[in-house]
Amino acid sequence: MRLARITLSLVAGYIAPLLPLCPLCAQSGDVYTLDSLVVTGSRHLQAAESGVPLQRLSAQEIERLGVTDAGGAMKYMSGVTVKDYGGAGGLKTVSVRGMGAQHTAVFYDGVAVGDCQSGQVDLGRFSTENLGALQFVIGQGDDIYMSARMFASAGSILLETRLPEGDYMRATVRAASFDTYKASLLAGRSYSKGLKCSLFADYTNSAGDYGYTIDNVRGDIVGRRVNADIEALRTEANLQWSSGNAHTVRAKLYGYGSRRGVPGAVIVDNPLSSERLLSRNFFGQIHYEYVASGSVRMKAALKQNYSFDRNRQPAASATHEFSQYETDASCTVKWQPADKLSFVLSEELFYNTLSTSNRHNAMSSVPERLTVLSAVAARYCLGRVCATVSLLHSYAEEWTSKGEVAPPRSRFSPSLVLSVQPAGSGWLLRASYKDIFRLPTFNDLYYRESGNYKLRSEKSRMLNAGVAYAGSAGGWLTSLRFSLDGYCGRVEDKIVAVPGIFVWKMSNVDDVSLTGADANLSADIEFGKAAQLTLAAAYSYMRAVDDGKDSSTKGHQIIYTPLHSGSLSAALHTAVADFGYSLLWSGERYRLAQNIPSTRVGGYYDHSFSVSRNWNVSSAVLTARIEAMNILDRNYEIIRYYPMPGRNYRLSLTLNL
Amino acid sequence: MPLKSLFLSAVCVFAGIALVSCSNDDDNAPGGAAPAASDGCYVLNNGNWGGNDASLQYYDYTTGLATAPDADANIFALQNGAMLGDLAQDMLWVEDKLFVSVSGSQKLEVLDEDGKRLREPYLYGGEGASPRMLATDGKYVYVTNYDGNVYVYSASTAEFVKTIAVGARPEGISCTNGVLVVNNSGDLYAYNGTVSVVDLNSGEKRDIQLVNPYTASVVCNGDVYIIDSGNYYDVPSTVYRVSVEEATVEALGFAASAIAAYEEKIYYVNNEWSYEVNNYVTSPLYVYDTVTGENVEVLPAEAMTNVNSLSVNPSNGDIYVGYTQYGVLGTMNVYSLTGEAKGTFTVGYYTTGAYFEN
Repeated sequence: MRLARITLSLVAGYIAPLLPLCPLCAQSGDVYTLDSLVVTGSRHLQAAESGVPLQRLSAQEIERLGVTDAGGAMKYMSGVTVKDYGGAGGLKTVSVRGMGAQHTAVFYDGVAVGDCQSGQVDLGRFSTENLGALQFVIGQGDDIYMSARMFASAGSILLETRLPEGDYMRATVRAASFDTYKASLLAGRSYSKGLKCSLFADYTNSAGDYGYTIDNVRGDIVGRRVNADIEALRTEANLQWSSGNAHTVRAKLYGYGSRRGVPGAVIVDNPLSSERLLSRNFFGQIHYEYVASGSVRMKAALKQNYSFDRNRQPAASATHEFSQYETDASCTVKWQPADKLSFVLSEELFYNTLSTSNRHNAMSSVPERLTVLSAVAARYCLGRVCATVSLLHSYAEEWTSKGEVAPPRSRFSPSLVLSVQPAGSGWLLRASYKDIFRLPTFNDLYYRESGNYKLRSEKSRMLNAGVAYAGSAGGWLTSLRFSLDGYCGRVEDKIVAVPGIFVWKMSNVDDVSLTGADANLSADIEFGKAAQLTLAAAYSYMRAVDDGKDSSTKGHQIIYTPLHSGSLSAALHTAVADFGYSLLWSGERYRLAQNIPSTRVGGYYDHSFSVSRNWNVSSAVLTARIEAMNILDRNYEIIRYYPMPGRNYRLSLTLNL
Repeated sequence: MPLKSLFLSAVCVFAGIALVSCSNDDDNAPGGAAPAASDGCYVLNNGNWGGNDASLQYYDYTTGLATAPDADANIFALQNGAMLGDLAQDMLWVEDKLFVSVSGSQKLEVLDEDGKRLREPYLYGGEGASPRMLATDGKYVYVTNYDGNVYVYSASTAEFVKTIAVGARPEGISCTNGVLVVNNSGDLYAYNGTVSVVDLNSGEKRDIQLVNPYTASVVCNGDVYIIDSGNYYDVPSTVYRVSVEEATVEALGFAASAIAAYEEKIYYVNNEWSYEVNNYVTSPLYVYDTVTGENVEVLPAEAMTNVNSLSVNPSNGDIYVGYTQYGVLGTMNVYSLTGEAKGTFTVGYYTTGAYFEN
């Protein structure tokens, strides 16, 4: 089989050259026998210590926000715009600072979740039920000990699954508006000799037929979403084995299947909607980490991913089937000769193919792509000043079964991070620069008539400067965290579809100029022993304007990017119950390149409220939670003519053993 | 004059003046002359996919002004208090009525000459039953539909008459000498399109195998001229003359993306993707004489950049060229038949052309 052969040749041809590196790290353990402290577990970097904007939500915080998927959680971050097409099955993609969703990389337990076809990941597919934390980094972080792919995007969303110690079980059942039912089970066991395993299953079924009202000149279009149902099952098995502090192996098997309607936009006078999407995704990944000594460590990961989508469009008498394979191998070595100095060498390669069914073949050919990423990075701290530099080299080569093929691409991408911690304070001053690009996707390059194999990569550059603070004022204000970052940047050769009379064509036309500011504030307040209050607020100012040389819309804000947006959340913990309130707010946006009154899409507010209470039932804890979302029942759209649900409710019962 | 006041109010809206101050057309006494073909023409805009921003505009020859293209302030919206819908495809102005096919909304609107609904729209409902292009013989209106049929309506009463089965995904249509010529674009991505020549008296249907005959179909000098768009790969677009009597086609030897007929001439322009310049490249506007076979350049290529539609006023030969860019309102330029600029105005998204009274 071709794929097996390719995979084999990949392993043989590309891992082999790296192998010498690995013994090197093992040997270096003998050389550097420094018995300095070994860091066990991953102490995550706090936002106020990071040289680049970093936002993190813990499992508890995610729960309090009343969101059920990673896309929902991302709406509470600053510096992002989340495109949400509404409903349980609606696509949710994240764009960082106006750069477009393809510039955002998603990592699931350290390994990239890719989509070579569209280049964007649907974050609505990642349930928060088994998430231990969600971290969002803009630019190149200080943590340089990571796979090369993490150097290769403008923004990274890191999803970390729960893997608690000991034996445990967590079961959740949930019922919500619009006939939405959900059940999930997470069970884990720890054995002696450092072996842990966990199993997770998550099932969702929703009719999603919520009502909406949309203005129609002198009347309204009042209706219910049709064909908005979804049934999805996600399963996951994790295994972790550690031998002392030297070796750690983590393995994961992941399976996802869903059947959903694609309701589409609300169309005047045409309530018919019949497009269906069937998706399957399986991947297995194995991750190995070896601590040779206090100064040298390495990690390697291997992932095989398969995803399949069947898109049936009865209205166009079309059925499209897409199969994607990805094989990903990475190896990262870190050498820390001194406490304040470290070097990282990281190599990653991944191989992607996209094939389609013969019937209604949507692609002009079967494209294959090999990407090789090599990163070198160094971090050095002198007193209270820390500097991180990295250089990434990317190489991509493609093959197609027939027709034209994009030429090989090679590019160096630098990044620089500087931070200063003034003496004796919780303050941090930071500045960073990152130059990165994204390759055109297989859709951009090879989608039948619209694909353009001559597309250039989309380049992005960003300069960030900010200040962060973390401290505790004592007394009732137990902790206060604050950050403010300003940025400017540019996206060049933005890839968009341009209209022709018969067909549209993907083309590099626009440049986008970016300037903005992100602010985050959070505080923990204690009212004696009786109650604790956590407040968090995020605000984004984002001016992302068309800056194309010959553009007729030069200076216009790019589509679906609000100038102002923000979020607010409050969580009150008392002995009786926990109360949560959250607010999402967005200013007006434009649905098209030209900013005129008729393309304006109004801003919105979405308030949610939750109450939860725990009961101890012998050794178990039972949690009941009631949530009301969009409590003011506002009709709003994030994407024009894709209405969001009005007021809706959710009841959850969780049993922790 | 309802249309005149409407026109004024729409211009007011377009100029940013509050609608309330100038729109009270409901209070106006009916009557006055219906707009004569010599007063102006209609412009139809396709709109963005899923954007519900199809629109209908009126262009006044005397003032050189057009009504607003906005989805919620165009003639249709003002007259009917509702949006026209998603992806307007084609229209006809016949027997004091406007027939407008709206493909995304899967409906056919029947309006009076002021753009007011004469009846509830025909909704096609079925999966993929989108109405496409229109033709008339003055007595009936023929509408192609992606369900494989031509729907026939009475031009005088707008009543549905019958359907005529043609081929897969029919698009462009013309009617001449009691014969219907229908472009069947064929199955999706199959490039197995045909042209159906249907004798309306006998009902006999003869099919001609082509590649991808698309929306363009015009009558000129008793023949039908169509564009086969090719396969966008190794079969280029080609203009064919269809002989309705023989049911045969003849390639004219030039490529085009848009055509329009005037007297014994065919105006045409080609707009093709070029990998060399990595952009669309547009040809000059040419006119082909169907009698002599001569090709003459009317407008240079620079005047045709971003061309999206081509129409010719049958009464005086004025050329209407629609231009489009992604996400930006379009423009329409008016030229005399010899190519002198006569006017320019803003149109909606992806204008399908200017429409004149039949």
